[in-house]
Amino acid sequence: MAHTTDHTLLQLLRTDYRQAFKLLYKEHYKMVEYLITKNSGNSADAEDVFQETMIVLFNQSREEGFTLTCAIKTYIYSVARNIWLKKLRSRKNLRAIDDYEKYENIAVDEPADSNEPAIKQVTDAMQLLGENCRKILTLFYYQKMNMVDIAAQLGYTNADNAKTQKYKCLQQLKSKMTVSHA
Amino acid sequence: MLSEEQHILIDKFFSGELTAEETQQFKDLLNGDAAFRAEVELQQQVINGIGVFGAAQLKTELQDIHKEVQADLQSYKPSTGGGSGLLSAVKWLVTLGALGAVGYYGYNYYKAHTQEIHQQLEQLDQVGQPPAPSSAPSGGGYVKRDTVWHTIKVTGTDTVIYGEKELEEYVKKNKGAKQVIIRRDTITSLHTAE
Repeated sequence: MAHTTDHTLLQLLRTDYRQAFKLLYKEHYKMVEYLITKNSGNSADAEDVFQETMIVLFNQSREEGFTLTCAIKTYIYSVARNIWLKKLRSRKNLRAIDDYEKYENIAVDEPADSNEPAIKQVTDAMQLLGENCRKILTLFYYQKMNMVDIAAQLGYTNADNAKTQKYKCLQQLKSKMTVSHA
Repeated sequence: MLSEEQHILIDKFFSGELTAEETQQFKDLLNGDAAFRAEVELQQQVINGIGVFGAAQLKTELQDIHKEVQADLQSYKPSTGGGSGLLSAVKWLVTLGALGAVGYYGYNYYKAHTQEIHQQLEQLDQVGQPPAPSSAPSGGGYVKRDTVWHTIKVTGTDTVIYGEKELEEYVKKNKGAKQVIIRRDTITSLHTAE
């Protein structure tokens, strides 16, 4: 079977992330599962760690100028390893990880705590918005998609219309934040 | 109430598009205008919150993808149960039967087709060949080698060699050329060559 190159996979992650995730699952999930299950974890932990690793890769791939300095396999292994170490520490299980792959120390940003009141205020308000507003705000602020692509994906006639809609949705969100926490 | 210009400035700040001049303007407003500062802080809170919301949505999608991939992988695994083992054996028999049928008809088609070509080649042999020139003509021709007819095609223009020796010399001379293709010619073009 021909393997997709790392460069192609990164491109695909920006244009069709679902397809990219499927390929990454098929090629690298077993490696992460092996790492976790050989280091005090179970299959559910492996699934969780792999998904969080994919989210880190997804977020970083949206950062301007992001390039891989190692093979994607090494990147995935290293990020998964760091995530699992943090989980082990939080469970007070401090045993060292037995490594099966070469790894580089890739820093992983601490994800924002979803239970923090300021964050919860926004996520609760997002639930109160219409589907279209949720999509446009997520595509712009989370997926960092530009207005031309957002317009094409959501069916707006041009980028300016999409921008106006995004502004309206942001105002709606702010008002819902006030209402939901009044 | 912020002005439209101030909103644009905040948008540019969060998308990293401020120029040096705008950066200074942004800093001045941040330190001197309480309403502007409150709006920047609110937008930062919104962006962080949408980040968490987006990541949670992505995680749900990843869980679905995980199930899809697992289902795909399961479907490739051979069955081991009694009932499904029988089903698997039937599938194998059907597959083998289909392959056998394709092979049988393929072989007969190939045999009939090549027989026709060889018959025509033999007829041509009986007619006789044109005298081999001292050097290969650029206009076309053919060569017989081990009862298989060849032409040599170079970058779209047929250059045909008449004798075994000439063929070897030509191949030797053009060894480095990637475009050199030796192919079995068709009966039609053999007639054209004559």
